[in-house]
Amino acid sequence: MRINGVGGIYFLPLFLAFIYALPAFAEYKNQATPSDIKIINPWVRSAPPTASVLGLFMQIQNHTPNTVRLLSASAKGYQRGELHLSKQVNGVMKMIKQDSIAIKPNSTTTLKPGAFHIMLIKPKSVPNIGSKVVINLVFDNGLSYKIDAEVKAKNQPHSH
Amino acid sequence: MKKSILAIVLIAIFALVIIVFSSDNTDYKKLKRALKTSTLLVNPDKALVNFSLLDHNGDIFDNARLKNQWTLLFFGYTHCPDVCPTGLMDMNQLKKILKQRGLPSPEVVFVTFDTQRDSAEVLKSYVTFFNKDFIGVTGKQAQIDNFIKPFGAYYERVIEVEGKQKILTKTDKIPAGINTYLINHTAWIYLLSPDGQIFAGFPAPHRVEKMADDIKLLTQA
Repeated sequence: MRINGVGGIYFLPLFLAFIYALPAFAEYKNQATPSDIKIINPWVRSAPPTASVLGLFMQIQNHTPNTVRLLSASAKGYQRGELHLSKQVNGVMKMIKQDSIAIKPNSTTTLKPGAFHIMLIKPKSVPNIGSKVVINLVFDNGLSYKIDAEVKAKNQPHSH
Repeated sequence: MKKSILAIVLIAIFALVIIVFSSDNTDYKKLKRALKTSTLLVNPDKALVNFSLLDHNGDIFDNARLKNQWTLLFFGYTHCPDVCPTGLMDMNQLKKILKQRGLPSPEVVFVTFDTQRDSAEVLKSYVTFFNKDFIGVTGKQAQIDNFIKPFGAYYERVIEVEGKQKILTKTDKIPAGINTYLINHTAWIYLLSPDGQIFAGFPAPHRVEKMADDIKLLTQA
């Protein structure tokens, strides 16, 4: 009885708190969660010690029903990161700077040599093969991801 | 009966005459058909004129350096973010495949479009990173511009002004305050024959296994 009584005392404020918090729960439901986007196999292409720019590649999976956009990429030890598209136009390879890179609903966008990629500009020092570069990616759904990209000496993620 | 035998013999002679007189031509036609990923560029009208450039050790790089061996030649620049490292890694891979297959391994030459930034020294540390035997070539911009003509190669410098990319003409100077530029360019890999002339070209993207198949056909033609 006593326990019930105590419960009764606490029940009303708890109930009111719950009602009060409901909109917040609803908002939480609409907010992006980290599992909405998955970054697969991020890697940096190894470059000569004098290189002024390195290429960063990965697959980005969008597990939501909405298009998500990668807005920016930055890396520790680099002046800045830029989003680019390598595209052949009338036989000329062009480097076209992108404001963002779109990942369509429930699909994957692959960043790879000769296609969409991230340019890491002006490294303090060019990293060795096998080392890790800490990357920060920012998306338009408000999420950002900190990932480790390994430095690899190759052109395609699956070639050896 | 006799008439039909005569007709067959005449047709056979006629066919033989055609084959003999056009064999040179059909050889190249056959080769062209067999090529998977390259284009035959043999053209006496587009002979390489006399040139004198500088290799990455500061030595003269002229017509003589292209003679007596097959050469794979690629144009680019060392500040290149994607196309050039891809091409150089492809050529390193290609050399490995050719070696595995017991085929002749061509000399690999990387000629810069960007003489302003690519000194012999810069080129040396750049190209030898991909393969210690690769040769970087630079020179005066006018010499490079002249050298690339018979290849049909093309480049244009790109700067960024107020967040927008702007293409410069050949004569434009890099404006003050702009400290970097990209270069849009063609990305063919060229095969030069041991007589120092352009023989075939591989457009991008480069499929190294197929390139090796074609190089076998081209070098044994």
